[in-house]
Amino acid sequence: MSNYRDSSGQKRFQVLSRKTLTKMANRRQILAATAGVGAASLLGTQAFASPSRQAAYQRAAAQEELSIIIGTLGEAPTINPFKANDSEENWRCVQLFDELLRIDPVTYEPIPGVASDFTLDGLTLSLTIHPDARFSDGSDVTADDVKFTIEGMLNPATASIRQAKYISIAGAQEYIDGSADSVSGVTVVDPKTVTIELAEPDAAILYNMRFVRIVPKAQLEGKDLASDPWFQNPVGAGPFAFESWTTGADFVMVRNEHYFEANKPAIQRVTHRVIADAQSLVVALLNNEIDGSNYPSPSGKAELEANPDLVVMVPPFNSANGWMFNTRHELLANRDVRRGITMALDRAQFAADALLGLGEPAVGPIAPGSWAFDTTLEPLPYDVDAARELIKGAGAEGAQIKFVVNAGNIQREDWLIYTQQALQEIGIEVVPETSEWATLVSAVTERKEFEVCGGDFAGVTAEPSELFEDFHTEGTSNYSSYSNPDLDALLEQARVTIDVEEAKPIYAEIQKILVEEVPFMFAWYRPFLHTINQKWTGYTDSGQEGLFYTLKDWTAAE
Amino acid sequence: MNSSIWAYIARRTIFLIPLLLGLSLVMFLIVHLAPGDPATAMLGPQAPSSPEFLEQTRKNMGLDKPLPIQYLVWVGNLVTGDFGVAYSFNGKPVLALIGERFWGTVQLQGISLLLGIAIAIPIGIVSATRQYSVLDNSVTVSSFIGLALPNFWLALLLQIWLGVQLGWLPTISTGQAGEPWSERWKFFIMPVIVLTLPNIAYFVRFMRSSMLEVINQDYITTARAKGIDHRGVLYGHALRNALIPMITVIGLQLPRILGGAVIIEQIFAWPGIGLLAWDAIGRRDYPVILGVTMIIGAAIMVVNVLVDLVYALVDPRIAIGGGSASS
Repeated sequence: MSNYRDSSGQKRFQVLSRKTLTKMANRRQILAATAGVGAASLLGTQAFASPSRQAAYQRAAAQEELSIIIGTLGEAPTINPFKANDSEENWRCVQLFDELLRIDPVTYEPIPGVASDFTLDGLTLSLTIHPDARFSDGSDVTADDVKFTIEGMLNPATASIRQAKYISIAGAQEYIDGSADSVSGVTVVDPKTVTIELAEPDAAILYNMRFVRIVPKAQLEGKDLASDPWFQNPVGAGPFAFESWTTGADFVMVRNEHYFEANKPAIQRVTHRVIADAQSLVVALLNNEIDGSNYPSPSGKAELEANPDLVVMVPPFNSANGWMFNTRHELLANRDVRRGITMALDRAQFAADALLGLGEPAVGPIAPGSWAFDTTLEPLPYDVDAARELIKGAGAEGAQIKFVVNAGNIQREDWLIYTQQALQEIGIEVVPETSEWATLVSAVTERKEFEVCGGDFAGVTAEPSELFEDFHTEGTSNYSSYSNPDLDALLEQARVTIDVEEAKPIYAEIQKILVEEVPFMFAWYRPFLHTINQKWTGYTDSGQEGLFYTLKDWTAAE
Repeated sequence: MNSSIWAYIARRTIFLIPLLLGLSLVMFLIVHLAPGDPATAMLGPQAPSSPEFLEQTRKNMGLDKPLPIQYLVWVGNLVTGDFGVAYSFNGKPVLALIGERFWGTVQLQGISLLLGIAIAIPIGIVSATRQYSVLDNSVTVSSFIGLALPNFWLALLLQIWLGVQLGWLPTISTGQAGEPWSERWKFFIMPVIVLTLPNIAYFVRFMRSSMLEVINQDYITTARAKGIDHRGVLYGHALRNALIPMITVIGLQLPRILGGAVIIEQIFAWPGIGLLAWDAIGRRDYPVILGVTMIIGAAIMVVNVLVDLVYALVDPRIAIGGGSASS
C-alpha cells in the first residue's frame, strides 16, 4: 500500500459553517445576547445557575431508551446524499448512509468506513466492503451499490456538486459525455469488492471516498437521483435510520439494528432539533432541554462554562475569514494595492477586540491542524507606513473601492467597519456594502460582480488539493480570477503528489505565494463553542466535523 | 340575514378570483426578479461555476423554461390545488410544509390576539372614562412601554428568568407536540406573554381614543340629558359605537395570525409560517415562497370580507348589498 495522504477539510463544511455563521452572528442575536447578559445581571447573580428540576421537561422516554437531543441553528435543506452540501446536511447523511471511507475527526486522515479495508496502489484503489454491511432494511450493501452511487454522482443529470471529485476515475469523462453507459474504471470484482482505476494520480481520491454515501441500487435504479421522493424517507447503511422529519423542528433517527459494526450504537434515538437562534441555544443548554450543540452563541461562554452540567469546548480553528480581491478590478489587479490594503489591517487587534476573545488571527488558507499547514508561514506585517507607500506607489491614493459582506453577520460587519476605518489611514476610501446572502452568492459565484468580498469564498481548507479550484487559473471556484503561472504549476503538481512528505514542501510554497500575492487576505478565525451535557461520554471533538460526527460511539456516562 | 347579504358575499367572493390572479402574477414577478438565484443559493459558493452545471441544476428545478411559461405552468397547477414541491425542505410538497406549521402559528397568534383584545377593551374603556386620572396616565405610560419594549429582549429575559433561573417553564417550544396537554400549556406561556403585551398596548390606545371620541359626541350628552344613568350611557350607547373602529384595528392585525412572528418563532423555536417563509426566502425556494404568499394572501382577502360583514352586524347604519348607505 502506498503512502497515502490524509486529506482533510473539504470546503463544504466550511461553507456550511459560513451559512450557519450568517445565522448565528446576526446583529439581532448579538443584541439579544447583550440583552440576555443585561437581563441576567438585572435578575441576580444566579440567573444562569441551571437547576436540575428542568429535567422534568425532558423526554419521558429517556427512562426506557437512550436518546439524545442535539440543537442545531440552521436546518439541513435536504438529506439526499447526492445533493448534501452544508454541514448539517452532511452530518445527517453521514449518520444515515455512513461513508465508504471515513476521516479521522482529529487528523483528517482517511480511515475505514463501510469499506473495512482499502489499498491505494499507484492508480488502483481496492475497496473491500465490510462483510456485515447492510442497509437499515436488512438488505446487503454490495459492490454494485457502490458503483451505482459513484456513477450517480458523476451523472450530469444529478447535478451533484461532487461530480468533479471523481473525474480522475478512468472512464469518468466518457460517462459524463454520454459516450459510455457506465464508468469503466469502477469494477465490481465480487459482491463485496470494488476496484477503482484512476486515469491520473489523484491525491484527494481517498479523502473523497467519504462522499460515497452508499444508496441501494435496487431501490433507486432508473429514478431521478436529484429529486426522487425516495430521498424524503431514505434507507441507508449508516448507524442510524431515518424515522421522521418535521421541517423547522425535529429530525429524528433511530438506531439501525442492522448496523455492521460489532459495537452497535448505544444511542437508540437521535433528535436533531432546529433552534434558529444562537442565544436560545445557550438558554436551552443551560435549561437542560437539549443535550448538546455545535452552535451556541460564543457570547454565552461564561454562562455555559459556569454550569456544572455542561462541557464546553473551543474546537480547533478551521475556516479563515478575510477579504477576497477581484483581480480583474483595475486597481486590485496590482498586487501592491492588495498588499497595501493587507498591511494596513491589524488582524491581531481585530481578533482581540471583535471576536469575544475567542477568535484568533489567521495566516493562510490551510487549516492549522492539517499536515499541509506550514507552521513557519508568516503573514505580511502590519505596517501602515509601508502600506501607505505601496498605495501611493501604485497610484491608488484616494481610490474608492467597494467592500461587501453578507448582511446580518455581525463579525463580518465589524470587520467591514474596522477595514473602512483602517484604510482611511492609507488613503483608500472604502465604500461599505452589505448584501443578503443568496444575492451575494449569486453575484460572486456566477457573475463575479464584486470588488472586494468578505467571507470564505476561497476560504481555508483542510483538504489542500481543493486550493486548486480556488486559485488555479482554471479553478472552478477561482472567483478572484487570480492567475499566476508559477502557482498554477505548483497546484497541478500538488494535486498528483500522493506522498505526504513530498507534498508538504509544495504546499509550503503555495501558501507562501498566496500570502505574498494576496488574492485573498486570510485574516481571522471565527470562534465556536461546542457544548455537551456531561452525562454523555465517548465523543471526539473535531474542528471540521463538529462534535457529533462519531455519535455511533457515544454512550451515557455513569 | 336577508338575501342582499348573501348576494354581497357572493359578489365579494367572485371578486376574489381576479384579486388572487393579480396577486399570483405580482408575487411571481417579484420573486423571480429579486436578485439571487435558487440554483446558486442551493449550491453555495464552492460549487463548480461552470455554466453547464448551473444550467443542469436549473433544469432540475424547472427554471430553464421562459418566465411566462413557468408562470402559466405554476398557475395551472395552482388551480388544481397543486402548489408544487419545495426545492429544499426535504423536497416536500409545499402544502404539506404549510400544513406542518399552520396550526402552530394560528394557535399561538390566535391566543395572543384574543387575549390582547380581552384585556385591552376593558382597560381602554376605564381609561377613557377616567381621562387624565392617575389610572389613565399610568395606562398610557404602560402602553407606550409595552409598544416600545423590544420583544426579543423581553423573550430572552423571560427565558432566563422563568426558564433558567426559576425553572418553571421550558424555554424551547419544539418537541411540545409529544407532550400531554397537562404539560403542553407550559410551552405557550412565554411566547404568549411576549406576543400579547404589544397587542394589549396597541389595542388599549385605540380603544381609549375611540371611546373618548364617542363620549364627547352630542348624542351621548343627549342621552345623559334624558336621564339615562352613567352605565346605561356608557355600555348601551357609547361602547357599541366605539367598537366599530376597533373592528378595523383588529381586522388589520388578523393577517399576523397567519403571517407569524419570525423573531419570536426563532427565539422560542416555535416553527411557524413566519420562519418557513423566512427560510424559504433565504434559500430562494420559489415554490415555498409563492405558496406561503398565496395562502396568506387568500386568507387575508377572506378575512377582509368577514370584517366588512361584521361591520354590518355591529353598525346598523352600514347597509350591505348596495342599498342606501345611511339615512
